[in-house]
Amino acid sequence: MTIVTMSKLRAIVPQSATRPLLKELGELGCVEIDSSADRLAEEEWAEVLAKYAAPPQAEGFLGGLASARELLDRYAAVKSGFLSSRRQVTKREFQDEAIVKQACADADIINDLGRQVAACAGEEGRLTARKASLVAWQGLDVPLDVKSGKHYRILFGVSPAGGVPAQELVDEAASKEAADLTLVSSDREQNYYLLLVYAGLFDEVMDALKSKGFSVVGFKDVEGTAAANISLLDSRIQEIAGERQVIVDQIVAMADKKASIEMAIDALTIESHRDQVLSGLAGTKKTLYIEGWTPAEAIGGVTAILENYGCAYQFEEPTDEDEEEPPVLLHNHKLIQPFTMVTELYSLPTYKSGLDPNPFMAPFYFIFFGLMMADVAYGVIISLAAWFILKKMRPPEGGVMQRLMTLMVYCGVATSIWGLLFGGFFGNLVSAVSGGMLGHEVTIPAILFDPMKDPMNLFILSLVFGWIQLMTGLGLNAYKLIKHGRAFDALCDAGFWMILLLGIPVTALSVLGGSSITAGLVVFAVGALGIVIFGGREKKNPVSRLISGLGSLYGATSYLSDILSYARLLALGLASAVIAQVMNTMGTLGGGSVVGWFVFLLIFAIGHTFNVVINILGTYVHTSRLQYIEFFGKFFEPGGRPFAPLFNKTKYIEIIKEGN
Amino acid sequence: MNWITSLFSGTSLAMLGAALSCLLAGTGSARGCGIAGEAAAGVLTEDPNKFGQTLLLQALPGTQGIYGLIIAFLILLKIGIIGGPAANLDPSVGMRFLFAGLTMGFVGLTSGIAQGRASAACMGIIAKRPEELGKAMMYPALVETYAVFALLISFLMWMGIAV
Repeated sequence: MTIVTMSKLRAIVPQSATRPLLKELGELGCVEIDSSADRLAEEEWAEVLAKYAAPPQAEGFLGGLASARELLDRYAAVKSGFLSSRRQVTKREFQDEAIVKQACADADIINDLGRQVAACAGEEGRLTARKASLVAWQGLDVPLDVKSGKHYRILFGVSPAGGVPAQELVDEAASKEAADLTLVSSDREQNYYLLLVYAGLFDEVMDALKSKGFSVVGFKDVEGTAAANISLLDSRIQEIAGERQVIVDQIVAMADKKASIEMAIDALTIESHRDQVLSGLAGTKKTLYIEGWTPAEAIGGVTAILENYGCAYQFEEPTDEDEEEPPVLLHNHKLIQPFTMVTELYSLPTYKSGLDPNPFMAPFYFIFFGLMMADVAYGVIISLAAWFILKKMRPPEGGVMQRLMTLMVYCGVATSIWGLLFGGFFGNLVSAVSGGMLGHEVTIPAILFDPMKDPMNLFILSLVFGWIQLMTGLGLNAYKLIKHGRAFDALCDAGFWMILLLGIPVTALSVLGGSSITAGLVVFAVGALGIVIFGGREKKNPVSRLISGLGSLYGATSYLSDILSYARLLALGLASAVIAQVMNTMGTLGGGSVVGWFVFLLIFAIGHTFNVVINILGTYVHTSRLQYIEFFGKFFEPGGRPFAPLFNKTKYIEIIKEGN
Repeated sequence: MNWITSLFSGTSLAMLGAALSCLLAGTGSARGCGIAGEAAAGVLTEDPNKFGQTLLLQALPGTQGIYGLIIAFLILLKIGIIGGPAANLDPSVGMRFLFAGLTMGFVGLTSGIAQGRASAACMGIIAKRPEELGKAMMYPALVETYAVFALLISFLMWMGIAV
C-alpha cells in the first residue's frame, strides 16, 4: 500500500539481442527504458557512445492497416452494439507472424480497392458536373455542334437571371431585320438562348444584346443534341456506379479480415513502440547501452532475462541525494485500487515524498460519495449499471475505465448504506405514493435521522467529517516530515495546528455538556501560542519572527473555510433528496386514478433517471474536489512521473492465457 | 389602493420569490449552457467522437436552473399553490419566501453564466487533450460550489419559514 521502491537499471546489451530482449521485457511489463539523449549531450559519454540508428520497421505498415480498417468500417460496418468488448486472442495466435504478414497483404488489397472506389467516385463526379452543364439545353432540338453557314450565324448564349428580363432581349432581337433570339430555358442563375442572325447584321445585333447582358457560350467535344448527350452521360454514370458497386462488394467480401487486421495493428503498434525505444538508445558498433527503471521486487525476473541474452547489467537503489526523480508506481490493495484513479486525475505523488495518499483518501471518498447521494435505490442502480458495464465491456485490468466502473460499484454500495441510514428510497417514494395515491401514508423510518427533517444534524455531521479529514491530512503531513527526519518541523507545521483544531471539539463538547469552556480555550491557546512562536522560526530577527508567527496564525481562517467547505456534503445530499421528492410530488399529483398512475409512472421513470445522472456528475465532482483541495492541500506533494514500462498494450484484442 | 394591497399580499410576494428563483437561476443556466454549447460545437466540427465529453462539460452549468426549480417548487408546495389548499399568508411571511427565492435566483444567475464561461474555456482542453477530461471538469465545478451554497441557504430559509 505504498509507492513501489524502484531500482535503477543500467545494462550493456549485444546489439543483435536487443530486439528479442525488448520483446521479452515487454511481456514482463515492468521495465521502463529511458531515452539516452541526455547522456549523449554529456561530453564523456558522447566520446564513447553514438546514437543508435535503429531501422524503423513497424511504423510503415501501420498506416496501411489503419486505412484498411477504416475502409472496412465504412463499407462493411458490423453493428458492434453499445458496449463492445475486445476480442479474445491467445498469446500464441497474437505472436504468429504469418497472421500479421497476411493481414498486411490483405490491407494492401483493401487499400487498392479503396483507391479504385475513389477513382470511380471521381469520374462519376466529373460526369455528373458535365451533365449538369447540359441540363439547361435539354429542350433544344438543335445539335450543340451546329455550324454557322455562309450567310447566317447560329450560336448559343446566356444572360444573368437577375439582370435585364429575358423578354426584353428577345424583343430587342426581333426589332432587328434578320435576327431571332429564342429563350430555351431559365433557371435561378441564368437565361439560356439560341441566336440566329444574318451574318451582315451580326456585329450590330451582338452589340445591342451584349449591352443587355448577353454573352456567348460554346461547347467543346460535344456531338448531337443536349438530350442525346445527357442520356449518354447517364448511361456512362450508371456503368461506373455499377463498376464501383462491384469493387465495394469486393471490399465487403473482405469484412472477415477485419479481426486479423485489428490484431495486426495491435501487434505492430507494440513493435513500433519498441522501435521508438530503440531509436532513443545509444551504443557502440556491437553493443547498446540501456538505462531505465524497474520495481525492486521485479529484479529477479529482469535479471533472468538479461542473463539469458548475455548482458552486462547493474541495479542500483536511488538515494535521497540523487538528482534524478524515479518514476512512480503505486501498489494498493484490491479494494483501494479503483480509488487511485481519483488521485491520478489530480497528480501522482512524488517518489521522494514516499507517501501514497490512496489508502487514506479511499475511505473518505467512499463515505462522502455515499453521503451526497444517500438513497437505497439509487445506490443499487449505480452499482448494477457499473457492474453490467464491467461484465459486458471487459475493459483492460488497471485501466481508467475498469477502475472508474469498479469505483462506481463501490460508490453505489456506499450510497445504499447512507440511504438506509437516512431512510431514502427513490427519495420519499414510499410515503408519497402511499399518502398521495393510496390514501394511507406509510414512511420508512430512518435509522440515523431524516436529513430533510433535521438538516442541522446533517450539517454538524458534515463538519465533523470535515474535521476528521483535515486532522488526517495534518497527521499525514507530520508522518511524512518525521519520516524524513524533520520531527521538529512536524511539531511546528502540523502538530500545533492539530492542537488548535482539537480545541474545536473540546469546546463544543463542553458547551453541549453545559460545563465551562476553559479546557477548550486552553487547548486553543496552546495551539495558537505554538504557531505564533514557531511559525516564523526561519527568521533570525525576533521582531520579524514574531510578525511572521502572527501571520501564520492568520492561516487559521483558511482552516475555518476548509471545514465550512464540507457543508457541501449537506447541500448536495439535500439536493439529490429534494429533487427526488419534487419528482415524487409531481408524479403523485394525479391521484390514484388510472390516468394518475400512468402519469406517475412516466414522471417516475424520467424524473429519477434524470436525478441519478445529474447527481452522479455533481457528487463525483464535489467528492473529488474535497479530496484535491481540502485534503491533499495539507500534505500531498504532486508532480510524480508515472512509471511507463515497456508493455504490451492492446486496443482491439485481449490476450488470454492458453487453454481458456 | 386595493391593487397595492393585493400586489403586496403574502401569497403574491411568495410567488414572486418562486418566480425569481426559477427565472433568474434558469436564465443563468440557459446562458451558461448556451455559451458552453457554442464552444462545444466548435470542438465537434474537428472531431465528432468528442460528443460525449463535450456534452458533459456543457451540462455542468445546467444545475443552477435545477436548483432554482427546486426552490421554486418547494415554495409553491409550502404556500399551497401546488397540492392546495392555498394558504392566506401574512405579507411578512411572503417576504421571507421572497428572500429565500432571491438567494438561489441571484447566485444561480451569476454562477450559471460564470460556469458556462469556464466550461467553454475548458472545451479547449477536450479539443487538444481529451484524456484530461477529469481536470477540465474541475474548473467549472469550483464555480458550482457557490450555487450549491446558495441552494443550501435558500433551503434552510425555506425550512425555517412557518406558514
